[in-house]
Amino acid sequence: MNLITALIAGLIFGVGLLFSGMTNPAKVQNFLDIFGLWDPSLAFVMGGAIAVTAPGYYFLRKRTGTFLGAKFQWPTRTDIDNRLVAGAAMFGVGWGLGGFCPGPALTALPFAFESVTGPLWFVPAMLVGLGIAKANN
Amino acid sequence: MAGFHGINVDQSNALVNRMGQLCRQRTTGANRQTLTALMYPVLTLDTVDATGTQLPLKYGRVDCIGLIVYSYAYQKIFELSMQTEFTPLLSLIGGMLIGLAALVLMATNGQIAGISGIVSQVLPPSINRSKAITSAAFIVGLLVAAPAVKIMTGTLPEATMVAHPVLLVIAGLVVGLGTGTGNGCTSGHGVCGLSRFSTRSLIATVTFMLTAAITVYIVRHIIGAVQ
Repeated sequence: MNLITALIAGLIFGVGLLFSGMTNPAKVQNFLDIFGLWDPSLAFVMGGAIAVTAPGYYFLRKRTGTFLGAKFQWPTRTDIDNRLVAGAAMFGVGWGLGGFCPGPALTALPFAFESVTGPLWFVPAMLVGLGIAKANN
Repeated sequence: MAGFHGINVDQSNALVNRMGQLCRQRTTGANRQTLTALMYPVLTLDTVDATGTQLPLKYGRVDCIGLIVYSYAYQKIFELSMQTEFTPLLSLIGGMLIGLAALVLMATNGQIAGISGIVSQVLPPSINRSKAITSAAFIVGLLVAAPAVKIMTGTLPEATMVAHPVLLVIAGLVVGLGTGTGNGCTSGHGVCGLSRFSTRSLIATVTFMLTAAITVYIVRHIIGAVQ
């Protein structure tokens, strides 16, 4: 059952990414290009997502377990360390360079052969990067 | 006839051809009409040769005025091909779906919908079997989304690729290393973290937004690398 719900969550997530414009690298870079071709659309993506997730999380926090009886894996870390800031800074550089972050790159992968070929290059490199980071964690 | 200002016939031919190529590759519909209008002066501008005879400026006779028009048109080609429409409603709906997905995953499996974290769980060296399996199911869902939308609506949202493949490999590597080291990306820190009012995630989100905007500024406005 939890496999099905995870799959459905992934599917909704991907559909959301496609509708939102996050899978279009030009749109992502235009969002980041405040002094150029600025397209503020993507602020609405984060706004819309948080507007749903924040109240939802608030109510889930009051429960002791999930609706399928699993344990909540709420992140527990609160420390601000160099790894957090350095990692986020690196991620930003890569995001700006390619116009892809992990979710949209994966979502756009199935159509990489017929339209935007970017994920074909981006995704394998990203997996290598994540693997290296995990091995050094 | 030789070109002007240190540019020979071959080079000016190459410039004009390259411009036409860019027009064809990077523009569609209305954009192309605007560009044809922009290109018109370059291809038709009259100029005068050494004996005072008027010459139509065709391929191979790009003078400095032609080059100015060329560089202006080149800039326009970039802008027109890169411009994206402001889509507040569609982006808001997409964002709300992302939020809903994050809620579904937490409400059923107790997992944070952070893509870099979820992908990390299926990667070596240390794999927790039960977590890896639900993560894999989520990833399958993500991968199925685009084909599903294509089947339901008949089309996929527009996308324009900008970066060169070499740049994309570097970008992918840096994104993987960065999100792995900083424990999160746009979804884990940006959506889920901010929704929990986590200070860690707020600092991460501000940091990556800032470095991303600086990167785009450098690439577009300082280096001007738009190829």
